[in-house]
Amino acid sequence: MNIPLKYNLRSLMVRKVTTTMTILGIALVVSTFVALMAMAQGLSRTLVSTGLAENVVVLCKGAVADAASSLTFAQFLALRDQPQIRSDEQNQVLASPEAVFQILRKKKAGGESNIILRGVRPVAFQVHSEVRISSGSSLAVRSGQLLVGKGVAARYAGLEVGSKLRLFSREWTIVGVLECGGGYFESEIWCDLDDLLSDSRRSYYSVVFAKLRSPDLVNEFRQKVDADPRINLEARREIDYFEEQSESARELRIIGLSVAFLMAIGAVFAAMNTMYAAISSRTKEIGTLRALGFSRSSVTISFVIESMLLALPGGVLGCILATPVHGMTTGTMNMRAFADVTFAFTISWPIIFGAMAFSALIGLFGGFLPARMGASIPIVQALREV
Amino acid sequence: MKFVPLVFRNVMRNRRRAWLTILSLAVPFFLLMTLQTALESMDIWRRRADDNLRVVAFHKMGLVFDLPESHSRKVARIPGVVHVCSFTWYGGVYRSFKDGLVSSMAVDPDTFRKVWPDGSVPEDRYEEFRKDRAGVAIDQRIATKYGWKIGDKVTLKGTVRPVDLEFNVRAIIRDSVDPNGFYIHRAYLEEALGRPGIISDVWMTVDRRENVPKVVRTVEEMFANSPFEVKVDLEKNFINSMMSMWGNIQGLVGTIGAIVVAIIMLVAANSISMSVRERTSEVAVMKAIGFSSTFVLALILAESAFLGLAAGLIGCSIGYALFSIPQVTTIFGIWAALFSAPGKAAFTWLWIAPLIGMAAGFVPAFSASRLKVVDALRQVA
Repeated sequence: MNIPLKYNLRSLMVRKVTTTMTILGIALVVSTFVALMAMAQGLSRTLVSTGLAENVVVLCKGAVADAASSLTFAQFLALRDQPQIRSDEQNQVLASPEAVFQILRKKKAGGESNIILRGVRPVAFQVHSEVRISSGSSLAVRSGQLLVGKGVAARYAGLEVGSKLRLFSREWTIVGVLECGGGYFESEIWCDLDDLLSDSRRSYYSVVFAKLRSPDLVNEFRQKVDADPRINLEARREIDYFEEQSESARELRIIGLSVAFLMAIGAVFAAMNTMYAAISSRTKEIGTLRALGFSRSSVTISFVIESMLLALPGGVLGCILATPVHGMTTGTMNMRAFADVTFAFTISWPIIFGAMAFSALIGLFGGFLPARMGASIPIVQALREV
Repeated sequence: MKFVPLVFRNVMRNRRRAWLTILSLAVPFFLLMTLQTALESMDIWRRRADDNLRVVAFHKMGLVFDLPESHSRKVARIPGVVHVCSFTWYGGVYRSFKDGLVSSMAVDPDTFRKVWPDGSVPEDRYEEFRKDRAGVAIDQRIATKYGWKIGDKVTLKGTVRPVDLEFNVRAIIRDSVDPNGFYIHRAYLEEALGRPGIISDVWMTVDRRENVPKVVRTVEEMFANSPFEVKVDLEKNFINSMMSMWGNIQGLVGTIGAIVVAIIMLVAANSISMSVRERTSEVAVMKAIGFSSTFVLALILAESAFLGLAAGLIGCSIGYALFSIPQVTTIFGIWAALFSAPGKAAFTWLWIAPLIGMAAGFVPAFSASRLKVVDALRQVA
């Protein structure tokens, strides 16, 4: 027979202060867990959500990021002839050569960081079809114009539409803002490719992004690009490429999990403390329950449930406390590209479920030992207790 | 002082609670000390940079833009500049990018130790590094991490420069400025790249502090309006700027730290109020036989302080033991620098532990001291 839940609820209400403090403590632990996970999730979502299934990235062999790659005009011309690449109605081949630099700019919040400056041709907007210009106008060819990503525009000083930037010995003008659903390109500044090549006196591209006729052609294309001696480059699925860039998110997640794990150990001890106190002050009640015929196991279960009743509301409260971080934007260094990536804290459902499981575990571990001790006191001794 | 045994006995009367409280506090204290170690490490970099006269010139557009080699010869002629060492960023990777990004810099071996005398390396070893074009001088911490010894051959894959190179470990520097430090010959890299005559940045030392602003201005003006304009920074500002690239680490650490302190307070307050509640009648008896309210307050605050101090000591000691082992800190990869502060940094905030305990114990202690003797004595257990 089970001890009614009401018994546990009422017992918790009797010890209001202790109950509240324990719940608050667990809530703080859970909210830290949620916030740290939301940070890692936000960073990884930004990078992983970038990229289209039918797109490929072509880099020089072994390059860890487009910013660290270089390829010649001849390689690009040979690459563009590959039949797997899609063409549009005007017979334009959807292969976008791009040059990438990292420029050091001042952050509004203080300090500086590198932003990717990407030189593109108009075809880039057809290849990166998720990218659109949310305000202002598009890039005119060889005009010294810039488009800034929504993310960097918000976080860096002097990147508003209409402002001027001094890059390589001339003034450039920001004419519009880029958007791509929170993806990586929002952390970049785009300009005309030939502008960038001539101003930087560089005579090679960094990377080619291409849209294939179908996502199934990726392997065929990859083998061709690798084997053709005129090309001799490495092609990757765009999705895989950005997935690889999300490495720093994994480090953040490890740090977040270690912090949360440590805090959870502390919370388990604290919950145990509360439960031991609860049980030792109710020894007589336990004796009565046992005398009434409730078995040892139902007493144990009842106290574990009581511990859960401390932990689960703590979990819910923790999730609620952490919600304000959702959507907050910040940035960190993507080590591969040696450039800043802007991301928004994202609380996803798996994080919420994780947080609830996390608090349930705190309740379980915190409640089990005290509950077993309480249940094991002999009835006679328990009843005699003053 | 004669009441110390009383405080101790009160804390230990419920041993299980005492230990659970201490352990549940020790864990967050350990976390707090870890965060402190991270902040301290960042601070050590800055402080070290505070009292030296090192200045760096790099391309105005950013660190990835190369400068011509001639820049280093030109700045060397500026009055006030003592030693000059140019760096070329190689960006080598050992085995895989994931855990093998080595902060490999190609330097001028003749002037490197003059500009960067930090840490210690045996003279003869350094001489061997200087003589071997394919030689490399590494920090002892990175040597431990990968198990590299003098005489080993190490092959790195270039990311910033597209050449893979093999190096001979010739010298190991103890406590250089970078736990990931891997210093190679610039001439060797130049040759492998086909002599492009480029450098990433120029480091120089200035003779006197008052000459620093003048040198900074002169160098910046010297290359103004050229295709290779430079920005000149004191090492301190340069390091601050590099650290800010990682994001708002201080903000993150500060927020977690504040939450941790709040958790410590809650746990301690909870435990102390439980303990006080259980001896209501005892407190009443003490007051009835003439102990003052202030005494009761002080007694319970002393217990709280004791719990806090015990937890702090355990938490800090674990931190000290862990971060003194180089193998532990290198697990953090590129974040290892955050744990490079000497282990004693873990104890910096130990004094705060009893204070947190007392702050947490104040409410229960205060309500116990205000207890009405009559009510309390009437209360049954």
